[in-house]
Amino acid sequence: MTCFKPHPRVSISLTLLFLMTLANAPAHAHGIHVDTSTAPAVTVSFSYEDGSPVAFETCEVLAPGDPSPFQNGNTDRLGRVTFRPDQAGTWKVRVWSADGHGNTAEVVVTDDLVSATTKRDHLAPRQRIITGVAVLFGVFGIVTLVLRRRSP
Amino acid sequence: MHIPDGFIAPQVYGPAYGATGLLWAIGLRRLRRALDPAAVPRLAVATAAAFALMMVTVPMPGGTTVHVLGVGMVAVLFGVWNAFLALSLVYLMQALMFGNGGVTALPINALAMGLLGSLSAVGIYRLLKPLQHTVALFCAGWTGTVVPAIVLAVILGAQPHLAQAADGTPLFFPFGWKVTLPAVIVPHLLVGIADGVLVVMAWRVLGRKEST
Repeated sequence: MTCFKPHPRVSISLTLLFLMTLANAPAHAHGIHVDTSTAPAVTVSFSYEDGSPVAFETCEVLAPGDPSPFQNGNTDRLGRVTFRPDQAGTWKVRVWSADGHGNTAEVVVTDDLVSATTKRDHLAPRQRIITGVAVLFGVFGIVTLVLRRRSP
Repeated sequence: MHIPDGFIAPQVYGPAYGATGLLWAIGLRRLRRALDPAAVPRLAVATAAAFALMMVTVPMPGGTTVHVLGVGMVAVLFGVWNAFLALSLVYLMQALMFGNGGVTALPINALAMGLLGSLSAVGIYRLLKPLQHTVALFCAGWTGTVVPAIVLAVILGAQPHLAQAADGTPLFFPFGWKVTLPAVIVPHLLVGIADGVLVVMAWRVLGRKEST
């Protein structure tokens, strides 16, 4: 009966390989660790004029005074961007769509890093139309007065 | 379609403010000299109608929305200069009061929609009017929507090339021409049909008052 006997160099190589698998850090350096926690966060919602959500559009979160993004990605199905601020101040949440729609929301985060308000309140669509039409008629009324006073 | 603040690089909106400011000054001087006060109420109604219709959004496939511009209507009824000034007033009001369209992007919105849209609408109207008046009105409305869409798509798509951070990421609007040209133009090819119908209806209601 013959016994398989590996070449000495093969034996040494296999031994070294086995010892390397027992070492810690190098073999695990490419892994990604996962940690889960729940905490209050700021959510900014974006919607079109008719109320439909600005879903899955490119978004970016900018920390106060920092031009490089703190967070980027896409809005979720309900048109929301959620982030956990690490400082108080005025944050900017920007949304773009490929057809040129978009908005930049200024979110004021308080010192407790939990409370937040957006800086500008919007009128309801019907109020906008009424206000806008009233302003336009007012301006054109002034234009009429100015034109009537010009010298003949 | 109004471009919001933060989408356009300063090297674009700065010169645009200069050019548009000059055009506004010329237009105001011309308006003061030539506009008939009797026409102002009708101009006010047409402008208010364009503004109100701009607030009505039409959902499009893919989740975006689009709205009629009303450019062709105001331009065909009252002429290019009156339309340019009246629509600029609308965009200014929308930017300052409603956050609809940016203050920095105002000159670009005014040039693209108010001026180039009006010019193209009136040009098509004059070209086709000898052939068939209703078709000329419809095509004017459609053109007055599609031409601004093309202009704005080109301007938006240029932004990533004009302003970049050190690592190459766009500082303002991030999508290039491959994205903006179909995304902006295609919906407006469709909504231009509504603008065309609007011009035909407006002509019937407001009548042939200010010749173009």
